Amino acid sequence: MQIEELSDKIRDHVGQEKPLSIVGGNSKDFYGADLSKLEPISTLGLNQIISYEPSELVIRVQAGCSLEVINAALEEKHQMLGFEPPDFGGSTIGGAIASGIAGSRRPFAGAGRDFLLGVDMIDGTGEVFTFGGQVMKNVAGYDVSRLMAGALGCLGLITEVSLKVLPRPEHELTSMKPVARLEVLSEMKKLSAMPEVSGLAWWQSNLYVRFCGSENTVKLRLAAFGGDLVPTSFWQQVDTMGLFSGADKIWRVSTKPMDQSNALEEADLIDWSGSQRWLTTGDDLENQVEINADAYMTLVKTNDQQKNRFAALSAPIEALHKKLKATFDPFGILNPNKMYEGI
Amino acid sequence: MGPPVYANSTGVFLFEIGTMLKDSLEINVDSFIQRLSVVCGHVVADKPRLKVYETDGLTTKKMLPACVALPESVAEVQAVMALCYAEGVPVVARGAGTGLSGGAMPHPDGVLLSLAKFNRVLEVDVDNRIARVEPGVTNLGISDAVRELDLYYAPDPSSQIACTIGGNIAENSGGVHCLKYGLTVNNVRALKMISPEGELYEVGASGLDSPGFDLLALLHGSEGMLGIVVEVTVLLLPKPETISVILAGFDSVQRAGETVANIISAGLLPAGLEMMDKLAIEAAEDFVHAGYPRDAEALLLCELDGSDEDVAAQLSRLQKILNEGGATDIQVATDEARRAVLWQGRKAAFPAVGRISPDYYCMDGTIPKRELASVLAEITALSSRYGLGVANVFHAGDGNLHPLILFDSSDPKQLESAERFGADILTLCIERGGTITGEHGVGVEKIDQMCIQFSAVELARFHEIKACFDSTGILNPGKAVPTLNRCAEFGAMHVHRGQLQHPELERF
Repeated sequence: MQIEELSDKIRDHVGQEKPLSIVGGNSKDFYGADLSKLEPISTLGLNQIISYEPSELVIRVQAGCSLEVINAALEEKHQMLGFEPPDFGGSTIGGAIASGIAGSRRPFAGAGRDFLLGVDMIDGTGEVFTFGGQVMKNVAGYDVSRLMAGALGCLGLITEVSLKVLPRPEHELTSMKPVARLEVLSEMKKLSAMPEVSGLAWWQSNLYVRFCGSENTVKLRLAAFGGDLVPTSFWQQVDTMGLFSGADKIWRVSTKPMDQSNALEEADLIDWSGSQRWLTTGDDLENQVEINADAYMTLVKTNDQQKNRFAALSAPIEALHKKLKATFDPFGILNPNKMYEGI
Repeated sequence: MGPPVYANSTGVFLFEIGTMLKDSLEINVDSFIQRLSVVCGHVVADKPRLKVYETDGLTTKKMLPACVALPESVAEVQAVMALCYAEGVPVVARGAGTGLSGGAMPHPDGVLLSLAKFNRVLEVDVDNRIARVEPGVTNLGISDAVRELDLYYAPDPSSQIACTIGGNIAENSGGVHCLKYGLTVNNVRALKMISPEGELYEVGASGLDSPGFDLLALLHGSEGMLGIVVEVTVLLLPKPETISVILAGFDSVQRAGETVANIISAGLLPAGLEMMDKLAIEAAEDFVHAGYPRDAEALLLCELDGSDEDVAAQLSRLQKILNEGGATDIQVATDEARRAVLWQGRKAAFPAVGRISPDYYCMDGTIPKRELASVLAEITALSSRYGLGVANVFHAGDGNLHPLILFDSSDPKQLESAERFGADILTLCIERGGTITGEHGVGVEKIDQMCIQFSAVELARFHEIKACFDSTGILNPGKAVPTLNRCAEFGAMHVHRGQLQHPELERF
């Protein structure tokens, strides 16, 4: 479906009071409440790269365009999506932005929202909007584009995005060496101060570091770090939760990098230089793991129908969420209850 | 009937006041100020002292506020807001007043809320590389506070000595390093806000993200329309091991522009990439004697940073590109003193232009970089049409233009011409796929051009978003987003991606 048909479909469903589930590659259907009983509305008909000019560091793509196609186009010009969105198999750029899920480069380069320059979208009444633009700096009007990033489609259906892209590092290599759990954070702190580090994770008693830069620099950094080279595909496994195959529940803790609380002792995987910790053991983790007051936990994947997978919002923030939902999707047509009940 | 229209003493500027104001307000000013003084220890209401606050960095727009409140604590801000909310009194927040679009221009019937007393760095968390600061701390003050820890705060607007972090958030300020390090929104982790009702709430977190919608992003660049910032958690970066600044002169703007594209295409990501045209070069050189090439039509300043080895590798690639692009007068500065001299000409460009003209009007459009040469050619054509000189300073790496229009404000005709010239430049930016403001904000200055950049439904949505945060519209009324009435009167038409709606209709 093209933009007008998508808009018509949303209008029709407003009339019928029948909510829709926004679907791209349907590769992240595990994330958020299960909406598989709702009628899907697919972005896959919007699959074009509208424009890409390497010298502008900007790519404009339709939401249903696959990450695979975009990455290939960028690769050809030695560029990349800086937030390294994980490809769960057929993932689209619209889903990557709407989910807010970023890969291992996130602490060193930024998240999807940091690279988002503009969006075209359809709201829950079928109205079509353009926010932001295709230039690097733009402060005209409220930043609705970034509001769409991570909103899980609850505020609108993204039809097109403009993204800042980054030059691909000349060289990039990953190495690992054994580091004990209690020493990992101080190691990460030291390494993350280096501008050449673009990945820092800890898994099964090993610290994994990705170095990037000129050939000479990467060689020097590797020599200083020691350890054994590992294939770059390690990071794809980290980003797509491929290390946890078979886990019933996968929890994510987002926190300050040097957080020494329980989330350190319990973590199976520590990524993002300490800021993102993954826990898989236990059925009732949220009651067992005490996390810092300013950290929060998300149940990213589960094999049951558990509700409230996202951390509770404070009362004023929840009120703002409800008002924004009522503004963008007054009839609750788009991805209702996907993130929070009533939103 | 449309909303009431106010004019300042010189009649230069007209703008709309929101329709929500209570008619009886004027009668009660004295009693209101009395009640305000009860909840806030520092209130200014005498005319001579109010004059200090009549304008921000956009000095052609002036207005006296009814009074100024200078709260010292979060509780005082809450009390001021609660009172203003109850009485329907407009509130305009102000940091250092260095903004260039009139965002902090006072409301004649409102309270100007100065955050000047919120000037403390509350906590520096070295381990997590974040700092909690009050909104009135200056931009440079943050970097100064962490300098000895070899850390710094990256965004560096040219007013960084004076401008406050609260104002930076309101405008989503940039600076010369945002190509690599991003804008304010990319460098702030969390905010404590006060709602118009006086309620305290927090957005963001000290980690890299927070649950729910990205309200943190939405609040950046919202120009004081959605809430009052009372605390900011910023990201700090380790100081780079090496910094090199390279200056290169060119015999045409075209060549300099092509070289910018070649630098980016080659995979270099400079920390800063600035361009100046001939008039700006000459003015800067006369002022600070930085050793800029006077005979050049354009110059590029390029800053590379990183580890010793990496900067050396980048530098040799850069020099090759500059040579191939026909650059003359290439100078490389690695030691801090020489770097400072090379930057000084660029950083002093505005005051330098101020020396050669009684007044200048600084514009702030953004365009795709490929349009640079042709947009500058059109600006030159406009310059002769309006009979006003223009010097161009340009954040070349991210396409952000700062044409400085030279005029004499003592001649009302010149002021009017300068404003029309500026408006034409902004329209040109939109036509070329850009935007009316890259980093200075809309404020009162560019409010008419918003009608060109956005459609009626988009503008209406902006008003609805404001209502989510500020249901009675007391925060900075009349700024940043035009009413649809105003757009109808302005007579401008939204042009979507260069295409006129209903192209079949004849237009004259």
